[in-house]
Amino acid sequence: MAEHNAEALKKRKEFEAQALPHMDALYRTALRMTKNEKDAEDLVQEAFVKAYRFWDKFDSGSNCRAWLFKIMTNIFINDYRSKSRSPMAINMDDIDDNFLYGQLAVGSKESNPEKDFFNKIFDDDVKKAIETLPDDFRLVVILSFLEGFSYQEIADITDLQLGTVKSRLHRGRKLLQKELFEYAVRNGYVKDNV
Amino acid sequence: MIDCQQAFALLQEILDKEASQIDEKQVRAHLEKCGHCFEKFRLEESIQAFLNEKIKATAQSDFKSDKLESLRLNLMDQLDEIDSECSKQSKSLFGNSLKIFLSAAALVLLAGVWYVSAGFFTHQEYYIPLEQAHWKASDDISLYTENIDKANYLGEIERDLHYSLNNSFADYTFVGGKKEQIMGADFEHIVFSNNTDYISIFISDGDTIEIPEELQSTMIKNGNIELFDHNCRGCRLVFHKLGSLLIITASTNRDIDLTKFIPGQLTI
Ligand SMILES: [Zn+2]
Repeated sequence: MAEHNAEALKKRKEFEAQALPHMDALYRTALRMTKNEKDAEDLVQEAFVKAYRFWDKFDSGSNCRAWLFKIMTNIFINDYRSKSRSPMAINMDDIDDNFLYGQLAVGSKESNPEKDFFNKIFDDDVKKAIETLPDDFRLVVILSFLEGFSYQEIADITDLQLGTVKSRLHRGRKLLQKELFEYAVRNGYVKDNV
Repeated sequence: MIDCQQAFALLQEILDKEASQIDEKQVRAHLEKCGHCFEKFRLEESIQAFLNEKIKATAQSDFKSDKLESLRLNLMDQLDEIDSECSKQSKSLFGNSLKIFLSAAALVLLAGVWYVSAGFFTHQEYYIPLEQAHWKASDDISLYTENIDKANYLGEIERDLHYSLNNSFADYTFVGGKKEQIMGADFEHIVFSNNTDYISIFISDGDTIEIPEELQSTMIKNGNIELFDHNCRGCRLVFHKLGSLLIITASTNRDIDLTKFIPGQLTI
């Protein structure tokens, strides 16, 4: 029994030293995934509890941060994301790859036509634009832009094919640009060139 | 030397810092020569830097350190609870829960994925891999339509499983399929579609995996076939047995009545 306790204590110590420092990163991503504080807190709690239960499955030579994100993402996908899923519902055809480029560059003699646009976009606009992205796109966008995971790491975390990660990131980026531009137009910050 | 189109094809990887050194070099060389691409890349890189910075800034400003501290304390309590649970359980585990323990151990071995398989076998962990396999098909159907000769494929299923699958059922048509290992069992994962929704049909020989007992109360009859309906978190799953086969249909569209979806029959 004493041996068992020593073992348990060692596990707890290891977990606190290796996993807990990533809590802030998980929480900040959870906030963007779930879009509300309560769910984000629950999601992070659940992820850490699960990680602790599975701690003996964690390969200590591998990347603990990516492992924790994988656990959290899995819980998010299964339990938290919008229940009515329709992956085919977004019409991507109306988003031109050169959308923002066309909008900002046309008719501009300035060397940095985007500067004006950037100055008019506030932090909150970016937050809202991210929150309007469909779950599947938002997830890869956050993992890439906010957490800096590589394509391969995102594929491992989300259980998606590498090609799917790339295409979602591409579409997510375009949707985000379009959303921000439309926001700027709606508020009269930028003139719509079309 | 690469041209504008080839340069453009590498734009995303450059923005995401995923381009190889060689590719990056070639693109930069092209940009020096091509004013149009230069401006395009400059703008895209500038937008990306702006987005990255803003996304990090907003994540930071949302962050409340006192919230984090209370989360941490809360978690410590939960870990304490797990620790005390574990020291109690270590004795009783080999009693009446031996069967559960063994199936969990088998799942751990077979699933081979460290996070899906638990030390404890829960219902959730039975259904989720099925849901995920279904989502995989609706996310990227090409995984199931490429590399198969449809007629041949149906022939093989008939030969191997003695199950003859119709080419279409209601307004759904067979679009593709492949063999998949789910929860350690071999499944034939067949996909039907009506161009809007997908229905996955999982067929296993029934040797390795059974209909979960907890579904007994959900039994519905279609003719003389008994079906077990489970509205899971991420999709609807309907189970039935045909001879020794275990057949599971799945769709994210809950309006499709899967208890009426019997797209094939036994040939013996
Ligand atoms: Zn060019």
